[in-house]
Amino acid sequence: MAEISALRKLLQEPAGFISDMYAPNMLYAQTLRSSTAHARVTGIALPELPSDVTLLTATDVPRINRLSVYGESMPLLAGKEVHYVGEPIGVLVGPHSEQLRWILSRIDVSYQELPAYFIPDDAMSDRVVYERTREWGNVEAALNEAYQVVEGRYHTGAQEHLYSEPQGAFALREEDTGFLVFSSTQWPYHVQQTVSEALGIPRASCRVRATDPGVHLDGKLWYPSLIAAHAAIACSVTGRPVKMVLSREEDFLFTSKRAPAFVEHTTGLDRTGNLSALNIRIVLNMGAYPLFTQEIADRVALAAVGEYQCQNVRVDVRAVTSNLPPLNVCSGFGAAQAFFALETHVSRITEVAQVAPVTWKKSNLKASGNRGTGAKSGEVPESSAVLDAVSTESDFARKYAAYELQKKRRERFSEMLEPTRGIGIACCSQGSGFLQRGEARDNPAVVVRLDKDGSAEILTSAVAYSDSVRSLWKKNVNDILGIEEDRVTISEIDTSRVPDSGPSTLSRNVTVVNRMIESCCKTIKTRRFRTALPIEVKRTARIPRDKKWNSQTMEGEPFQSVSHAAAVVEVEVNPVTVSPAVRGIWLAVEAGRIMNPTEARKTAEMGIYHALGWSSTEGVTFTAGALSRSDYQRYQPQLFTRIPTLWIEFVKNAEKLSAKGLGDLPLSCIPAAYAAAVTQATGEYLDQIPATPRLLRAYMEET
Amino acid sequence: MRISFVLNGDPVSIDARAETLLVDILRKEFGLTGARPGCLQGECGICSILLGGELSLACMIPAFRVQDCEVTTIEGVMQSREFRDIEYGFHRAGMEPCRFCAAAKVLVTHALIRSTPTPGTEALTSAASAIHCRCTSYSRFTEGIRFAAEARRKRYNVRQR
Amino acid sequence: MYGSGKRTHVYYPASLNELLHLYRRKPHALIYAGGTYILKHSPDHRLSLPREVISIHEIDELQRISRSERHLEIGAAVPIGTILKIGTNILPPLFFEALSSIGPPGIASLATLGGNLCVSGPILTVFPVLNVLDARIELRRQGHSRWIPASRFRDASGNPATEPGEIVTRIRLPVETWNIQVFRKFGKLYQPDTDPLIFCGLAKTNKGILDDFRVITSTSGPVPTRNRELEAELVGRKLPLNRRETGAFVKGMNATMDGGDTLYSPLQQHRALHLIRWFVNRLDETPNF
Repeated sequence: MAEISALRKLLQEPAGFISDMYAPNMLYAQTLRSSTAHARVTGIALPELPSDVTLLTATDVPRINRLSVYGESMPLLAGKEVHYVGEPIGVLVGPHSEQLRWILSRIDVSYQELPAYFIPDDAMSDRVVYERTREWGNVEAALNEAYQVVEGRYHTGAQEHLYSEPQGAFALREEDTGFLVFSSTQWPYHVQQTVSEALGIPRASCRVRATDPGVHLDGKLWYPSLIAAHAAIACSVTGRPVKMVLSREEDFLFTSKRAPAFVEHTTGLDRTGNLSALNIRIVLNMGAYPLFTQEIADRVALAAVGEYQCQNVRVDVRAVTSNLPPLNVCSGFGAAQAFFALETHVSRITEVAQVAPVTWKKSNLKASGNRGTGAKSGEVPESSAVLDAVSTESDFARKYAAYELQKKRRERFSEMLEPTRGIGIACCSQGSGFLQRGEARDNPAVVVRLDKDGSAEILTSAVAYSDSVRSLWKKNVNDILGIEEDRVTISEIDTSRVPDSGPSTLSRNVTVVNRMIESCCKTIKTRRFRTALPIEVKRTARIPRDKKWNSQTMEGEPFQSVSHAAAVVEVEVNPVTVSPAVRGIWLAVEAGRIMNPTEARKTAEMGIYHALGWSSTEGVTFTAGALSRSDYQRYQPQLFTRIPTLWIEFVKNAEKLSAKGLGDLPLSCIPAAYAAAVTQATGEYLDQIPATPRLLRAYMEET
Repeated sequence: MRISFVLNGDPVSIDARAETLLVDILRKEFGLTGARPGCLQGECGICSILLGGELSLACMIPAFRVQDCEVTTIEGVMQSREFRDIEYGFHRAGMEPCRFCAAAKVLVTHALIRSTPTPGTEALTSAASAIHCRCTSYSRFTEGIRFAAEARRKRYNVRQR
Repeated sequence: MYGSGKRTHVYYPASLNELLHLYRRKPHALIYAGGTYILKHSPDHRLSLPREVISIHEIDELQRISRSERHLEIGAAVPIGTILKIGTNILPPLFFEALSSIGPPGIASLATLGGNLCVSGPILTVFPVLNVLDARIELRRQGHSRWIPASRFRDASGNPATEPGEIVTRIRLPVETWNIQVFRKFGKLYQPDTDPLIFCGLAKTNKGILDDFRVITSTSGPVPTRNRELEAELVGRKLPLNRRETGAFVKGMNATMDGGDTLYSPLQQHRALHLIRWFVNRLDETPNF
């Protein structure tokens, strides 16, 4: 009964969402935004404002008008120049939110328009903010000598996070400490850093309490700091509590999205159809204020070659700025985009080389232990096991051959009336945590405390949105210290109490943070019966000595742990309606030790649906740098008239004793498998996602 | 204008502008935060309530429309014995909705199994599609509804056809 | 100034007579049934009401559903969800599917047939479906009532063809037995960039002869596409139709689309013509309902 009533407890407890918060004397804040993509602001004409309404602009920011992330930054409020539609120019503060909306619609901002740039093109060289090249061998020579050369161009679109609660923050003064900020964030200490810098106060004077961000897909990583800073500035100037919550439409129109990618592959094959040369060029559109650029570009450079080995490789990644909203993370840091292009290109290669897809993949996989170079070793590739699992369970080989035969024999897809079928397969990997140097950057830490009554408390700023992560941590304490899970508490996230564990992204919660908890528990275990209680141990993240990574040459072990996955997607496409329907999805994951299979399965399921949405319906298309209400109304996750069959398996790896991340894996393999399946079913080569019916129809018209 | 209606079984009366949305009234006037403002387009289902016993969307209902009507929110449904069937169903399916959409998912389930003791695949899929939240997979949600329906049938001794 | 101080007065007529009388006196009042379309398209998601609103959800005469041997009559203010509960034993399956597509359950409990018909702007789901079913619509104003074919409910510009003071009160569907009924819907009818399309196909077959046959497509543009002459040419033919017959019908519908006032996007045109071709090719098959 205790477990059954978990739902009741969830509903009865105060949810603690920003939108639910109220305080006496509270004010609301709303954003005055740029209506143009690139311009100088020449004036702001206000209607007559009531005495209790104030407009704050860049000059009202008490100290530093910047939000910074690892050396890159953007203004909190635009000064003289705006760089994207929706860029915050001011914060309007007052006691009635409806009134603020009315006033905002009557504020007239005048601009002197400047040239705007939205998509990468030949003139982009002066907009490159970061470039990463990775190469070995001699690609030019190998391409010249190749038996066959296969070229392809691929594009992945922006994607909206569609997190549960829109962005928001609540800021108020506290007598003793200064400011208290409630923020729906994955990174509480970044909120603290941003707010304290903006207000010019010591960090300890800004207390941040993290509210439940729900399923965030990395949309609550850094943007909450911007909203929190706005609310805190308003609170600082007015002296009153300030609540700032975006509507879902406003959130959709103006906040950050997944960075679109343009990828060109030129691949040389030898006589057996195997890889002899890989030349890959990738352009990432980072929007107006690139953030996490190096991390994203480097991860994309690693994922560009995926799990394959090749003696001659050149990968060139460029991150470009544009007059779109900041575009960066979404369920990962760009690897999904690179994997889509790679695996879609591999599907084309296997067709050209006339080799069965699984056979080709396994022939070209790199052995485990080869990270970053093309040298061979004698071990079995980790991707091999997951490929075998999905291809066997889905009966891939037989279906693929059958559908290929049907494709060759049938009339033109566009003339047919009966549905056709296709099946695709793709594999990928996911590195957990930041690239090696990144983990040491912030000195993340965790504290575990063993109390006199024998209970334990975990203190961390890591935000666990799901029970699976919380139960993983508690299980660790239980395994090492023998304390029952219901006697292990996880402290509320309050920066005045918990240490900075770094951002909750890149599966750090199940890897980096989890390892720190383990380390704390092991130390407590050794002291337990020798030291008086309570015992409190703090541990920081350490990069294992055997994991060496040269960030300049991109050689070595970039991640502390890497997980693998493979997916098969089977579709049926109705040529009458041009609507693909997913019949089945098979996903095999190797993610180390699975502490809670039920929870891991839920995570994988969620990832599958996210991936399907991105592959088929979730498209964001900017027009002159802007999105419209129509775009908002149109955007929705994929809805199913028939729920596809899902098969998920966690492949055991006897050597791997620790947990690894798996949340981003479905997004890295399912889109390419989906595209390959639709390609086979229709005969139209899909080279971009989302693959909407409109896109398919356009391709059909071209051929 | 003066709006009088029945809220979770109790008669209530408030002064509100005719165009104020029910979702705002419930949250601000009565402190009932279970129905949340979501898309405000009638698409996401996060603001689900029962109006006259039927599943409805509080963001699509202006104040004047509830005059003399019966409104039930998640807070009311949780007081009923029927809620236990949903607790059981969700637990059995391993379904743990997030805090943001849990209320809406319960209400959709409640409304469906009340009217359809043995919901078929189409009804299940339609119900699962009514709430847009990334926290739970479709398959798990439909399983949860199915198990809840099963519990309901057992409670009322309804035979499955 | 914000809020403007204006207050909306809401009337709750208890009977149809009272409604008609009230509407005659206040022709500028907003007649509010479910209001779902109005709210969906309100700027800033905030409902802006005129000075006077007439709420009709409590009027008994508009909430009735009745069935005779020949007709099914549905009040204009019956919520879609309530109509659906009748089920396909009574409702034509095509009509049932069409109503099911209008929105999720939370919308269906509010939206009404009358509201869906009377939206000025895009043609929504109900109009083309009533058109192909040869339904009739009752329009009443104080002291006067008339029935018109559903196909005449919208004028050439796509606006409701009601006279001043008139409201939709009842919809009458003929009770007919169609062997084959197909309804398909794509996109969102109020959003042209989703390539919205409705396809309805009805066929009556008897001993291998096509007894009756109707096809309509609608993109939410001003005029749905239906060609009764083309339909009539196929009635009485032996099934299965031959290639020439089906080809001529598809070609004729293509020409009708091209010559009409409604623009079809490439995807809409593809779907519409392929659905038509698919439909006419399966008229000899086992009935799907």
